[in-house]
Amino acid sequence: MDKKVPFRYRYNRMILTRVLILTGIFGFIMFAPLVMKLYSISIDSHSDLEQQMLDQLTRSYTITPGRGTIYDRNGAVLAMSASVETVCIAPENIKPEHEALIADGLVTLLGVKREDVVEKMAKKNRANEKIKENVEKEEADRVREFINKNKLSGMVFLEPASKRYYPNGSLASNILGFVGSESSGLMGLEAVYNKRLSGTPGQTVAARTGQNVPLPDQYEMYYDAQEGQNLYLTIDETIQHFVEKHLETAVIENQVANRGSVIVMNPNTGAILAMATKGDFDLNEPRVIADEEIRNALGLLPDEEYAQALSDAQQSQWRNKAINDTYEPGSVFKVFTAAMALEENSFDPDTKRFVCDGAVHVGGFRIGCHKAGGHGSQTFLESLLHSCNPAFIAIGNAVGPENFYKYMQAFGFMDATGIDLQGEAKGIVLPYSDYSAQASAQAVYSFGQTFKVTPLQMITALSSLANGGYLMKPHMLAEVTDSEGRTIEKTEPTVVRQVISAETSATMREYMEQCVIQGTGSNAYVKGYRVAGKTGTSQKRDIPGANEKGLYVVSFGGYAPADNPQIAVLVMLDEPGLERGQRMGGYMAAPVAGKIIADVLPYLGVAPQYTEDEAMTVDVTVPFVRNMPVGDAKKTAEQAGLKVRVVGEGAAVTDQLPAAGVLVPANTEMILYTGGAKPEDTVIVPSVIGQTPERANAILTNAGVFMRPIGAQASAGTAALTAAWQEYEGEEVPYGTVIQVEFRKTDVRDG
Amino acid sequence: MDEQNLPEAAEQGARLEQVKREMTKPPTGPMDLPFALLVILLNGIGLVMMFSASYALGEEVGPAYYVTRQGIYLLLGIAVMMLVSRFNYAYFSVFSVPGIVISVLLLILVLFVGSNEKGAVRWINLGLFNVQPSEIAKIAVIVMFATMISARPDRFENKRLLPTVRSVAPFLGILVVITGLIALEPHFSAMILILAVGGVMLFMGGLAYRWIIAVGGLGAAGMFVLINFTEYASARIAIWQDPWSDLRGDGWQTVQSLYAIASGGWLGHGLGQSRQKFFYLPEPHNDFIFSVVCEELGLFGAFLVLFLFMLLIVRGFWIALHARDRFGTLLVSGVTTLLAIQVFLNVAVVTNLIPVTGISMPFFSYGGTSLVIQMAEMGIILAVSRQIPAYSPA
Repeated sequence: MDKKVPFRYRYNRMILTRVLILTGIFGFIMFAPLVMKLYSISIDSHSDLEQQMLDQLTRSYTITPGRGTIYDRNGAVLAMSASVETVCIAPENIKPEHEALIADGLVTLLGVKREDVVEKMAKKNRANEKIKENVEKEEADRVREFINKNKLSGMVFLEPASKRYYPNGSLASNILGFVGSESSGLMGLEAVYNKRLSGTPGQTVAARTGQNVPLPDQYEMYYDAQEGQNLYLTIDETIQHFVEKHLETAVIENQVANRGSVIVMNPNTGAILAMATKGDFDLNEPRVIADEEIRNALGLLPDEEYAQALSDAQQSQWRNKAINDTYEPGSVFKVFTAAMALEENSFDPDTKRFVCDGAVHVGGFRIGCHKAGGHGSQTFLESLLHSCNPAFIAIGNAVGPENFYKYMQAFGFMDATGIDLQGEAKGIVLPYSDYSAQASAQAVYSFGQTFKVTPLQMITALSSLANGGYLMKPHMLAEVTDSEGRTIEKTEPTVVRQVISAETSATMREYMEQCVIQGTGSNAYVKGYRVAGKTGTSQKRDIPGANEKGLYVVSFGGYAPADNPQIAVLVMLDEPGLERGQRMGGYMAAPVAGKIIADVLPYLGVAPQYTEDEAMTVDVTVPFVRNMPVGDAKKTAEQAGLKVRVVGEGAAVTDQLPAAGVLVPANTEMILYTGGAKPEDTVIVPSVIGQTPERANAILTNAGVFMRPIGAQASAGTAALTAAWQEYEGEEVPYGTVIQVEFRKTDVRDG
Repeated sequence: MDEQNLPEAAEQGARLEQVKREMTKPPTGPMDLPFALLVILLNGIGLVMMFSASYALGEEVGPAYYVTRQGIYLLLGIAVMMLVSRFNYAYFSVFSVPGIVISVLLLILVLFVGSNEKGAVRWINLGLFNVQPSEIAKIAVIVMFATMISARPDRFENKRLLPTVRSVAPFLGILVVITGLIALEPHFSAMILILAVGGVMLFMGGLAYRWIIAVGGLGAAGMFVLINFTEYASARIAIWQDPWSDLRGDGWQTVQSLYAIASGGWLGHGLGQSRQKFFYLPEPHNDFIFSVVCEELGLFGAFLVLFLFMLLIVRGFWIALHARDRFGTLLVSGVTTLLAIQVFLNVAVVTNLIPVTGISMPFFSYGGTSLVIQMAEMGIILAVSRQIPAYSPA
């Protein structure tokens, strides 16, 4: 049939059919899969893929706010953050041909390990690997130059960061604390106020091109960072310096094994002016063990023990002993027993007498007095001056066990003070049920034994004796300012409660001043200032075998001036060495407090007021008399309060000793040289340690140097002073140098 | 048989006379306006999209660099299209043999002097411009096959095996030589295009369905072997199945293209608002320009473009059907098919419907010489359209 149709027609029909088939395929059918596929991508997978695209497109950058500065109360910087940079690489953008160049460059510029860089570069799916943190500007500039020169932007980059600096190194290290790598406070105030200091991070979300540059004028969002706030502490940098200097000396001198602490507080407000523990650590290198001996010992440990030992050593040097640990207050506590009796009118303090025959028996225990034969009959005040244990057992009894316990609570020995520091401990005191069940409990509590308190609790309670009876809440933070310096918050003094009346407080001030004038606290004496205080020495009874080993805690708590207390000071030395006779709060801790008070009160602008006796030996400044006629020079010197000896026959003074401007005790003999040359010789300073003031002065004067006594002074009814410390002992000094000699009383047993 | 040959011989003689006559006179009818307008419209859209897509790339040369060059080539292309359309297409058969010879020579030449880009040698630098010999080969094959088939329209009449083998052999020979040379570049998509267009030409020449199916089956089998037993191809298949498996490597461009298409949604982000063109999509102005169309104009825009192509292709086959003679039918069918397959392959690649192969979008992708060649091809179709006999109801 087909074959009958002429080819031409068949051909045309074939063309028609086949063109229609092609039209169907290429004009219609072909488009079906395309349309379906496009639909499935654009509509079905739209949100999923678009999300992926946006993730790829947008980069989010955290803006780390600057951490606030910590100032002392006068605005001196204690902790601050400085801008540094972090060098990073973006392994995902690094092409194989650049790897060697980048590795070489970073190793040379930053001193990092090549294998570290190579390892990080191998993480090809990462956009940000840190190579080195805390890079200072100079180094960062060199990296920038390297990036620009080799066109490595997008592969190597710098991120701004900040680093914490502590300009004073170890100063106040235990209270300031330090920060971790992410600028988060780890310890101390840095941790307590971390939220205020660190601020709120901000964020930038920006769209980027495939070459990691911002897309033109679109898709950017900022969330502002909130800068960290600044803290003004109640701490005074200068006072902290004084405290740390004297504490460190005491810790070394007295071979203190278990660190020592000092707190200086404003007794009227509870503001902590200084708080120190030695040994401490360098805030700029908190993980390095500061104690060389311990550090060396650690180095000898086998690897498996090293990590644990290091961690233990770090923890113990970071520990703020003044608030984290408790100690036995010992005889210092007697002032509270005394205050309770006064406040409760337990007896007439002026007439009541207490007899001590060396020991008392309570509940089957014999409790001895530190004075073997006993103190005999003594008044209330004498009992305190003697620090007599049997007398205080009687005083405690007069207060009554229930009242006594109530007062211990009221003085704050049972609770944490609530200071703004981490991990504050509270007193370890028997629960009332156990306390009342044991007949001997109150007896030993009366003189401060068998319970423990923190140094902070103690100074807070002492302040209440000084300030009219108010237990203040101790605090470290004085003021908070924002990044612009505007004040956000100020700490007002908080009265927790009134524990004793103003009258009792006034009486205690007098009594405690007497403790320094004629009692066991006499080594805390400061010329020109009325110091009040009480010493304490106690056995560490909670450690097994402590008695045999002779483990003691010595302390001194006091305040000055006694009539208007401006500072309260607590000194505590844990496990001092030295022989038994010197291992007493009065001998070891009281002088530390005295030196601190002697430095701090003049610094605070408290003018010294000398007694008549003191005025005789008050320090005077040597006047400048060279080139004056002898007569005038003599007059000038005598007006200044100095005695004069003239050497030579000339009419005018050619030279003088001591030199002008030097501080010497009044009535020191000044030497005026007229014509005759001043001896240029040097002298070897002889040791006067252990000598009385008179003897020491004689020795030094004979040797050709001047003595300037510091420390305790002779007073009625107590044993002689001896020199405990002197400047330039055995050293060669110029003729006429003024030598400071510290005198202490040795007869300061306080039980 | 004899009966049939007689009128055919006479017809051949008459046709020869007619050709001789017509070669001497210019085509008289108007060109097919719908087709011409569609070409201009698609080019217009293409140029605008090319501008948007290339905008970000002009970092060093200025944002208008690419669009300016492409615009100049487009004007040139339009001129070439109009010029070609003025010719009597019957003359084009004279290019058949020289076209193939030149193509083969260029394809050999490119292997020695061509510039190597990403491991393939496809371009010859002619100083002012670059040319892809495979582009010339495509149109040369169409003209050659059209000439061969129209010279002996009955060559596939005998459907038995041996005569068919004999009549198909020259075509296959040409295809094998040309695609073999292209395989050396290598340029996979050009091979596919030429093979497909060659097949369509044979189909239009009247090759029996059974042989079409047989040859198609053979080709499919060959393809199967190629895909499954060469490492290069099977790696591509793996990426095709899961482009995320090598996101930072070979899967990158596919994933970026999918992101662009998906983010467009129904209506797109608006002209010029593509984000993927900012160095995420590789060559957003070239092979992946359709992804930018999707991202900026959305699914609607993409469908509109595809619809315009669809109209163009259908109109092309309409012209093929109405062509005055077989040569015209074959020429137009070949060129239209070539265009259709290019559109299909390009969109299929950017949507990950098929594995990635480098293929540009007609009228959209950047590239001056290939645009001019494409416009010349459109000119051929328009030339054929001018000689469509006026419709007579008789």
